[in-house]
Amino acid sequence: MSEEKVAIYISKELYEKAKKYVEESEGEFKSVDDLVEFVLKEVLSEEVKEEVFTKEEEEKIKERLRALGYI
Amino acid sequence: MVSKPHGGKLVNRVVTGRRREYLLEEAKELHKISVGESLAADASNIAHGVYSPLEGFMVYDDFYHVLYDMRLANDIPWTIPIVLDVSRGEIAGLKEGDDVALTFRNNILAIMEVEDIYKWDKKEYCKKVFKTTDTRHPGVVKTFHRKELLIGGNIYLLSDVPEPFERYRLWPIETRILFEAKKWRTTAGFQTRNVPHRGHEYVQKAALTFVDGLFINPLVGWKKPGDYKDEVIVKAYEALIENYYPRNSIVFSVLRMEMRYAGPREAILHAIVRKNFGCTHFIVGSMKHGIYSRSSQI
Repeated sequence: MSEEKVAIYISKELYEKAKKYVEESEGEFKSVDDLVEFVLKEVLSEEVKEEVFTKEEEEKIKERLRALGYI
Repeated sequence: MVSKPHGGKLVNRVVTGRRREYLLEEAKELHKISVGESLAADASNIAHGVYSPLEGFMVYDDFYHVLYDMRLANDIPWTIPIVLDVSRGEIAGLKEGDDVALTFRNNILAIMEVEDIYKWDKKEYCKKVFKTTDTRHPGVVKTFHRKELLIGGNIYLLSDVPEPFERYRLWPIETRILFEAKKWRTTAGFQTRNVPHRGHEYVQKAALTFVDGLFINPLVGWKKPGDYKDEVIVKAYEALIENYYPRNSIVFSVLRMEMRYAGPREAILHAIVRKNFGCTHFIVGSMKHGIYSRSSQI
């Protein structure tokens, strides 16, 4: 993904909430920008997600099926 | 080979990971509506794709088309409205466009984007869905006891409903992977709300002569007084499968979903649901979901 950045505007109230969330994230998010990028990526990737599961997810499901005796 | 999900895509509206945590936090601030066991099960079923292509409780357009045409507003066949009923008091201050948190036993179950709040005519609903307004019919009684408004919109499931038969709970994505892993090209779904009897055993074994696998999927949850208890149904099938069935050809799993007792409309809904689980065939029992009074079938 391109590293070129653009500015976006959000309400001050939402920004303050996001800032507090970042502070409490114990370093998981470095900044509000970081958090916003993460949330947007999650939302946008979900929009295009198809039924197809990754190999990892499929294997996890098969593990449960094995544990339950179905496979 | 598994069947294509109804509408072409298996719905997944289960939120996990950090996004779930974020939404759970957000839900604390939202208007809340408490739902009972059957509605909580419906929410779970929507989110896990059991009711694909539904992504939430029905809005008026879908409700209307299903009731009169047995199709969703986008023309995809669907026979019984999946709706969330609320009282005026419960939604005081809430408007279309708001988000609302659905709670079950005081826990946040889901967030719903309120798209539509509308009235319904229960008598007309009963006439269409049950073909009767006779209050001896359990579906009619249940409908008349429901609340006066319906609220529709997409949901995001944040917590699964606890399932006493967790060992036997499978979601469509799991059965689809399972049928593929078993290399079943054809699978017959068997819907039941009863313990098995010789007639069931006969049709199930007959089905196995022309399909690769059988998916026995009894409903657990609300049923009319006099129906078998869930525990008894599960125990009876455990014994039958253990002692009398070719185990590699059977998958047994429960589905938490209330019986509507809506005859042919319900038979089609149950077939659609099993299609979402990956079944290519569906067995419709005799007297499908019929209700008997002392002297005649309603």
